[in-house]
Amino acid sequence: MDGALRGPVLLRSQPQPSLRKPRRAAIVPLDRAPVVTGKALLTYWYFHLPNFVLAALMYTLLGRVLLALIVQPDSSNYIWRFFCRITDPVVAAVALVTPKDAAPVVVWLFGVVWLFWLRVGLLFLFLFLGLAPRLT
Amino acid sequence: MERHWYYIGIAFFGTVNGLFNQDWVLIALIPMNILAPALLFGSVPLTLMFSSLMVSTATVILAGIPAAIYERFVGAKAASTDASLWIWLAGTGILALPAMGNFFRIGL
Repeated sequence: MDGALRGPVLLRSQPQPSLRKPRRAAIVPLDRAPVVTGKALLTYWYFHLPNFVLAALMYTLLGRVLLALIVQPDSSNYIWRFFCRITDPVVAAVALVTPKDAAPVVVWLFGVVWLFWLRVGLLFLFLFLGLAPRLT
Repeated sequence: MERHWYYIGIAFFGTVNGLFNQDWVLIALIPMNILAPALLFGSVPLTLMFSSLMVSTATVILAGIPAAIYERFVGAKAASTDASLWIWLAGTGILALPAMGNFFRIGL
């Protein structure tokens, strides 16, 4: 019996692990994950800077979603106001291309996904141009 | 048609695309490992699930763009119209077409 809940589709119809030649895994274990050093940060600043800004916006927007669970929308809490001030431009841009039936929290989550794909696009762009940092 | 049926249809097509569109899941999976390897604790199942979620949501978002443009064109004020919801639903259906083969072959 086959089904999507049994395992990732990506790994289907492959030979048994014992019969297969050892291959390099697509997922790097955490203890062998690429490390970005200070020197690499300076050398590849043109990649890391926009990537950092997009990541900061993405995680702040995610933080806004989580904070909204415990804070009223019109709260004067300074963390909430800071999160809103930082992420409002992104939310406004995402709201332009989102149907009006989407609730505000859905627009925020869509914003997180937009920013994730922008980071993926940025990475692929730099890889395509041969300007991405080398992972060692 | 009641509005919730549109939402169910949109979510269904998004889910199908996220689970069964192997190309896009791979495109999300590999950068996820580079951009934030520690975010999901280096767990392969979690990373796969997250990638699948990103593809599902991206399907819904992309299909919503023509619907949002249509709403601006007709001047919808507070809520989406039936036509824009149809556009959104049809958009997710079209984007999920490449995954339908796997969906019918593998099933849930």
